[in-house]
Amino acid sequence: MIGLIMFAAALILLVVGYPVAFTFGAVSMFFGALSAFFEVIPDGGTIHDFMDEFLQMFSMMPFRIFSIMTNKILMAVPLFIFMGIVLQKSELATRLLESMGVLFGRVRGGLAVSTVLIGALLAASTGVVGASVVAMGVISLPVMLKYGYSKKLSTGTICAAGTLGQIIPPSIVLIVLGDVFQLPVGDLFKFAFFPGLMLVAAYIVYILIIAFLDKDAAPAIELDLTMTKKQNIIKALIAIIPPLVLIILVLGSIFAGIATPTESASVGSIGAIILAAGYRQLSWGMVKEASIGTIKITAMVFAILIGATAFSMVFVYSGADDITANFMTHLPGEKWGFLALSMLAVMFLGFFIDFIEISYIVLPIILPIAHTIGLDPLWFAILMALNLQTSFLTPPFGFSLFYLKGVAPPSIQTTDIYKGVIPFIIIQVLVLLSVVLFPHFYGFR
Amino acid sequence: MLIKIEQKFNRFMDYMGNVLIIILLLMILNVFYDVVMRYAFHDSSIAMQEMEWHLFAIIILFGTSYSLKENAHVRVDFLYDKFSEKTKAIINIIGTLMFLLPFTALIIYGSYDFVMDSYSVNETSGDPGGLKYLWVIKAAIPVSFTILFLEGINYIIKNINIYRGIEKAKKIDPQGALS
Repeated sequence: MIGLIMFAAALILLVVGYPVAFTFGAVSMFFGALSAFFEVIPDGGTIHDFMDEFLQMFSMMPFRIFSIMTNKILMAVPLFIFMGIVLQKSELATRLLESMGVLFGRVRGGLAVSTVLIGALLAASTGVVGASVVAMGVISLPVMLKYGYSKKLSTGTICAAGTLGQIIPPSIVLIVLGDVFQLPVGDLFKFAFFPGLMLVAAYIVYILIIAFLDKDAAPAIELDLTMTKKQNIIKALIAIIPPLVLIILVLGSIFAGIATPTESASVGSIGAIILAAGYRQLSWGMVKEASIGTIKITAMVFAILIGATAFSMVFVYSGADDITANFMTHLPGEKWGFLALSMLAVMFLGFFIDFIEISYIVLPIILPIAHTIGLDPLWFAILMALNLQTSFLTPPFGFSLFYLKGVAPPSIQTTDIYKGVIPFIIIQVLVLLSVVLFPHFYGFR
Repeated sequence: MLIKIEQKFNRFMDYMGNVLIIILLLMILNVFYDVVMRYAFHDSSIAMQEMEWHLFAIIILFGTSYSLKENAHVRVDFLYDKFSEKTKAIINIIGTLMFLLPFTALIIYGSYDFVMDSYSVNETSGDPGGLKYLWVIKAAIPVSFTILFLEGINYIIKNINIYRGIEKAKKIDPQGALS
């Protein structure tokens, strides 16, 4: 019971805004002490026994930390982040957006479609959601608005396209899920790829339908034709082909089983440096900034992981895992009841907290239950990934919405963005449901 | 006085940050080197492979305190963002006192035996050709958490300075936010 109270207490304390990692760590410490107290004292133990029990419980921490240090899966996180930031700092997004817009602009809805395609490319190469949304918000949004695209459609498209980085591999969510689910990250990458493409396709179809139904939502544009069509195409190819080759090399070697994600990521990092040099964007200052960004994000993930480790240790010690398991396995509809409840719970939590906390705190609680019920772990992991990705888009606290609001021109109201993403959230949920209902179509057993 | 302490300590943290940058780049090269050796020359060194996670461990352990100094740890910020700078400073002071310092102290305390056990039996990696002196990397746990503890104190000082209005709070850098 204490474990469940701890869960509620942690969520409430988080709202105050102190860093998540240390809040979780300390809350576990206090509640660990509390459960040790109730374990020892009623049986006639002394304060001394209580201290022993408490310190005994936490003497496991160094072992847990050490196993995180030696974790080869997590080592892929800094490598992929480094690759992504280097590509992002070499103005990859700018080049892609400028050239693709010209190519597709003449079709109705074409600017929005090219934004989605670029979002997918950025997702596969950089995977940094914040950076993608910001880049597209700065470059693509003013262009779309200038040519009369509706605010709703343009902001929704940018948020949705930027968030693709969470599901299209290589993505940090998938690596973290691989770690939590104890599944090969390469498999997760492989099975996330198709649902990711499905999302891209669904977005594009939606945009084309809107553009077809409502002439004013996404008009065709006449761009200035100082360059010939041929020059434009060549310029676009120079922007697209090198990063595409890098993506194919990195993902291809993982999918083919030649290299582990960590190995491919190191090759990708070196490749990103070479690309940056090729585009004449490489400098020591840039490498330094990319490194600092990488260290900060990696350390932040690690800190949360330590806090979460302490949390789950106390959660299990207090027996709360059995209570939860007992409850979740006796739901109406058995397997489907469990699936619905866990998906809704994660989606609800996703409104407030990040995917990393959810992955390391909530998933370890429901994972053994999923195992008992007999869900295919790979399928369950991909469903979770899609679910967590959606949380980036959901108002009021979706990350992508914040990022876009931060760079959007003042004429864009927060409510424009909220309204704009709703159709895309619906598409997300539909794709998620399609993976639930037709697992075979996506290659699951 | 408090400003001086903070500046001194910040300089130390920046210095450590620079070292971490070098270690990150070394780690990338290390993994890349191992990949090339394995696939191109069918040769792999256990010691070099173990070096990969040693470097990784240093980055994550010592990066935690660097991230605290840079204010890069994620928060649930929908309320926090709306608070005034003073309120934020109070939250950070109390949070560090109540949460960060005790938790860190507990880990430092707990890891003492962990390191000493390894040291006393002169533990090695166990794999033939692996690295010796495993206690050194294990000792990185108490050492890095001690630095985190000290940075925690520094963070309190910094927030006292912010509260007194001597110092401006640093904006959270979006790069540090989630990918």
